[in-house]
Amino acid sequence: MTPAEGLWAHLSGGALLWLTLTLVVYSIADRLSLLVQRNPLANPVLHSVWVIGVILVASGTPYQTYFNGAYFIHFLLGPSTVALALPLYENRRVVMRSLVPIVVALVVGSVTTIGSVIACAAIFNLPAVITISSLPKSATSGVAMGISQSVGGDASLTAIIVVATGIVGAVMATPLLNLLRIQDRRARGFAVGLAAHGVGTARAFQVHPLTGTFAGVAMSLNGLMTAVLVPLAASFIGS
Amino acid sequence: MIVGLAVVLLCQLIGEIFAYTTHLPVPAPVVGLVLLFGFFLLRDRWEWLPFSLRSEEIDKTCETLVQQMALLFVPAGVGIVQRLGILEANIFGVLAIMLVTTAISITVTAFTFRFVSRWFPAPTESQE
Repeated sequence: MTPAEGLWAHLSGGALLWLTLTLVVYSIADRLSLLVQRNPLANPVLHSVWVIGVILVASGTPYQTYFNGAYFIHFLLGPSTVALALPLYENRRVVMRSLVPIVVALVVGSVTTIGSVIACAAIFNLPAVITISSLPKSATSGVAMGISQSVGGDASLTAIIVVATGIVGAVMATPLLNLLRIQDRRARGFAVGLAAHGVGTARAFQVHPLTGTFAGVAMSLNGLMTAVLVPLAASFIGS
Repeated sequence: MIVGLAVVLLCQLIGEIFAYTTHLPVPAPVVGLVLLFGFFLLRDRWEWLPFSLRSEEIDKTCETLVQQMALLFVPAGVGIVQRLGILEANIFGVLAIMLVTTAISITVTAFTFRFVSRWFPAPTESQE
């Protein structure tokens, strides 16, 4: 083994290299996104995922090795959901005033999301594992993976579908909502948070604090709603 | 920072214990969010709380976590390298689920929100 190979073997087996890689790639992607005025297509999560994916494939690194290092970042998904209590607290008055539209949009949006996944899966005749794993696609990763496991889905597949949904939602939200002529920041934020969880919420906070807050409210409520609805939907598919 | 992180983790921990013992289908972080929200409300009234629990530190930790939330999705997203086979075999269905259902979800939710908020206008909006 050459010294370079020895060093690679030493570093690639540990957490440091993969943790550093994730932060460096994300920092660059985030800076580039800022340079193009936060254009939705320059979504930092989207570009970090493929760049790191290409690096892993090119270097022949198993995902599990990478994840052991990047786990420290992944772990913070739970605490960041808890931390959404802050924007909710700071905007509690405006949220309380919109309680009726929030509750109705939550129920309608959540049922529509799950229903449309089932319809799509039926049209394309998807294998059950993909369908079941896609049901919680609009809930935030940490929450969705737990739900998927409990209904016999593949938690890793769910994580991918959830993150991809978040990216797609964050990229399409601004142009789509403009096209639909929805100007109300509360409605815009709530829709993107419900459909595209944390990635959408991060995007919404870039646009406006009020939009971000409603996205955060939608994301946390939909985590709850999805946890209730998916087991029902899964038993419906199974029967 | 440390006190802030401790408070946030404590809320999530209590959420985890709650979800485990009650068997309710509620995600632990969501229970934690409700608890932390309650803490923020009570903090304004409870003047006897130790200074570190009343300081801005907790707010700053939360702010950082919320601002950097997008980064946290990267490790799970990279997992796609592991499942390329099954995704490729069902590429059209998977794309439809990602693109079509997400667009439907955003559209229906936004229209519902706007429709209902016109029927139930915010009671005190005009005063601010």
